[in-house]
Amino acid sequence: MSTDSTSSSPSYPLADLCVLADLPPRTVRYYVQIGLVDRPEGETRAARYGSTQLEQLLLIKKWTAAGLALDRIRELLRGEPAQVPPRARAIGSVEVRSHLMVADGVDVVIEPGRAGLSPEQVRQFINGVMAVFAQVSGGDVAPTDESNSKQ
Amino acid sequence: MDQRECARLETRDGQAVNLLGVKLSADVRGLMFEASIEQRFCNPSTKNVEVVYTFPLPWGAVLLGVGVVLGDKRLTGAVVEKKQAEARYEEAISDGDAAIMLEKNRDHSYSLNLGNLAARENCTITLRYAQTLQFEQRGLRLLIPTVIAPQYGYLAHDGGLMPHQAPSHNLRADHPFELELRLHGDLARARVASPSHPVGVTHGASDLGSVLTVSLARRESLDRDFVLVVDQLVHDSVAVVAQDGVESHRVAVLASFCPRIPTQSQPSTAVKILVDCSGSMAGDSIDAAKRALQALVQQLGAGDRFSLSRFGDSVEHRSRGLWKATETTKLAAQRWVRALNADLGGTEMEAALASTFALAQTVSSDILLVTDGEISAIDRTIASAKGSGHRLFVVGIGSSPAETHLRRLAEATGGACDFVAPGEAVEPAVLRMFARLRSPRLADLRLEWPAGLVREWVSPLLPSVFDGDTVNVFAWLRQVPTGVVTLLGRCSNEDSPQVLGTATLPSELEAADTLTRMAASVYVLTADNQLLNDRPMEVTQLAIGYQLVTDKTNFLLLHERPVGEKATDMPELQKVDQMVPAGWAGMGSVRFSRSSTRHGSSNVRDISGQDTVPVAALWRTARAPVPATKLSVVDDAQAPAFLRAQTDSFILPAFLRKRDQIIDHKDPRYWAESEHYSGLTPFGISAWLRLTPVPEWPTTYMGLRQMGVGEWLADWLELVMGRYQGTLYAESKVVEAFLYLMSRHDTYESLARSEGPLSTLKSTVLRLRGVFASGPAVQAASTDMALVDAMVVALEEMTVSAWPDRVFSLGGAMDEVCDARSDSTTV
Repeated sequence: MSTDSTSSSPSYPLADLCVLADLPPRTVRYYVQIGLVDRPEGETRAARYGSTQLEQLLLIKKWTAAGLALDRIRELLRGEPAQVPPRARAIGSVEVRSHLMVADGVDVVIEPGRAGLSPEQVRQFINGVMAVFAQVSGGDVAPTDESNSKQ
Repeated sequence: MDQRECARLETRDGQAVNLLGVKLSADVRGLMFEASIEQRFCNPSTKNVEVVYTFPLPWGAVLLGVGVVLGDKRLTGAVVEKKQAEARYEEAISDGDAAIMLEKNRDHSYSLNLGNLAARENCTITLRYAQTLQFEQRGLRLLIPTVIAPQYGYLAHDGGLMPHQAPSHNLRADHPFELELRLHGDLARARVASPSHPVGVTHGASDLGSVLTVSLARRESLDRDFVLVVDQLVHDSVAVVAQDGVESHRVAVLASFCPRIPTQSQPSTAVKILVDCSGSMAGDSIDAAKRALQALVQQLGAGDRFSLSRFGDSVEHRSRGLWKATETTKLAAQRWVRALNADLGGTEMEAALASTFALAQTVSSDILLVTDGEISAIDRTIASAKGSGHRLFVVGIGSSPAETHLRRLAEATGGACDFVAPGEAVEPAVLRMFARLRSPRLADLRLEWPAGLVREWVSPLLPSVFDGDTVNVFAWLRQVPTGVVTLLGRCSNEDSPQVLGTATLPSELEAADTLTRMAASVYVLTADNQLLNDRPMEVTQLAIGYQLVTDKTNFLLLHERPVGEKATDMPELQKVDQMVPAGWAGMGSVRFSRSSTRHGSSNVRDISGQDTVPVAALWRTARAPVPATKLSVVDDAQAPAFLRAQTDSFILPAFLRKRDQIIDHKDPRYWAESEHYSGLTPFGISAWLRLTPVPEWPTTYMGLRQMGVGEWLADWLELVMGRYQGTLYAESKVVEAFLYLMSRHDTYESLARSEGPLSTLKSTVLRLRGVFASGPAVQAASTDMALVDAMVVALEEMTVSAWPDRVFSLGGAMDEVCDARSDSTTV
């Protein structure tokens, strides 16, 4: 959905658009600001809105009334498919995870395959985590500069 | 993820800085708490922005003034009608001028809008507010909310908030918070402590007397409410009078009573305890709730009746009606409390309350609700609670409970509200609650004014008057009064009205306009509540006259920019993210934010008896889950209770799992799934035993639970049958006797046959008794027949799909059987 829609489409100032969509100006402006509704053509007082924006507003109105959150509406407006939970892994499939114990009660689970991390990156990540943990947990522990520096 | 986050100036850890810090300084003097909050904003970007910040003010706070410093210019605005303010704000934005608007939201929070803040521009907002002090049983608990916790439900939908007003949350947000409180006069001699923050306390003197200054001992953030407990106070009824600044003929009066209600010797109480076990209670909050509940159970004495329920997405009742407080029921209650977990998902408070109201309706009882109150749909909940006839006593839990919501809920139903911060001792709050629960309901509350006094308006008295809890009354009078105001009330069982408190009207008038504007604000609020909306314009005019930010009026400041400096496009939105409250929903624990080094002086005192130790600044970063920083309250689909019970506890042996599949959990004849009982039905157990070879039968209570016997039934076996008539039976004996009874062919047959109408059930029992009386031939060698016989009697009213009420009443008589049984028997 883009603003360079047909030039023949009607164009309204904000006030008219609000009357048509039956929404307060602040709410319409809010939707524009968070990117739910396309930006108008022109700025400030000269801003003009078209039928694209009106359609978007009416859809948002319908969906919010149905109790959808704005983030969800954003996805729907973008035409993203309804979110399907990731398929349960087939019985017997193997997944390898590194289980890093940082300290008692603090574990980091990494499945590099799914995370798309190289071994170097994993190592870097683990070093970072350990360093940060040392830094936040040990008040009297020596400064963590050494552990931060990479060979 | 959020689109609008892609283009903005950020700090090194990727966070936009728009709120630089908040500084609160307050004076507590006489009856009044007056504070000024300084909020410092800046626009670090090179673009023109609109900053929106939603924040809480304490319950009953009246906003008195808004000061603005934009760049280096000191500006003043005014309170105008809401619609007009919104329109003019929008106009200024589209004209490219700066506009600042402060609005009061439907949920009583406030939203500050800084429109068209230019690149690199700073803005400082100073809010002044006042509230009257509420003493509770010789003490004072000052609560200054700093953050709005994530709430269940959609604020825009359920809470009636405009989309831009709904607060957003970010784990990485960190807004510095400074605070200084000064206690004057008598209060300066009181004992103070803060269960929420480490504080430094200094004694000083000013020309007006001694001053006690409380300040934060270290750098803090806006992530938990500030709580100050002031103890050992001598509080008495007083009155203050002030000349009205707007209407010169008018005199405003505040009469503050400290009611003294004579109590009979320990009257008994009937209380339904309802605990919030939603996800947001996880961690510190559920711990505090459990401590509070254990203390509550201990307070129950002979003659008291109680029920236990917990809720989240759904509600679960421990009993079907009210239990008598006996050793057995209290033991069961303690066990129930120990097992509580914040595992019930969302916070469907309205439905849970409705279901709890329905328990034992014939008995007049009160509700004790333990919750963090983080729900959006509060208006609906209050409305339905009000109609139920129950008083709601609320214990607010957590480092940032929704104070306003809970106070409104309690006030609307004639109950009371108390709060417990993590790490704070729960006993004082619980004791106060019980004192209120046991205090009589008062009727015919009224005020007696000096004769001949013309009263223009008097604020309505709430039905909730408790011994030692402040009752404030505002009034507008036509002349300066002399004499005394008396608060009268009648205990429900007595005929003559009693004097609860007397306040002497002073001869001197207060100079400041604070009192008169507070009176006006109470007038506006009560006008709203009582739907005196035949004259809405009048109320709005009054709010404008007294310059009050209300539901119908906004503060507005417009600042016209010089031609060259006007904004040329729509400002980019920067909502100020709320911090996630400390300990919220299990996000780290406030317990661990105590470091081992002491910062405070010896002046740091804590009435809880625990050391109040400075909080480590790093804990917040320590527990932040790394990438997902935007939070939303998700209502996950919940697994049914029986599935959870299985997956949570332990892996079942293969033979049990198999049997589990044979017993169809969807068939109500075998498996009960209601808010009162989840587990195998009588017929279900009977069928299970027929399918399972005897050597595989359970021999312990735990084994019974694994088998699918509901918690409550297992508890009954252990707590009632296990010590039947004073004899302590071994666990294996009780289990054996129970299984023997349930496995009997006759039992199965009669249960299977009685599937139809209820009338055939009685014969089941008669036949059973006959069988057991008919001789020892059928009995297994070791089975204790006395126990079996006792069980036959106890389970007399057992049906195919429901256990008798006796099982749930734990020996204590029940007041009423709830609907659940009749539902499940007519399968």
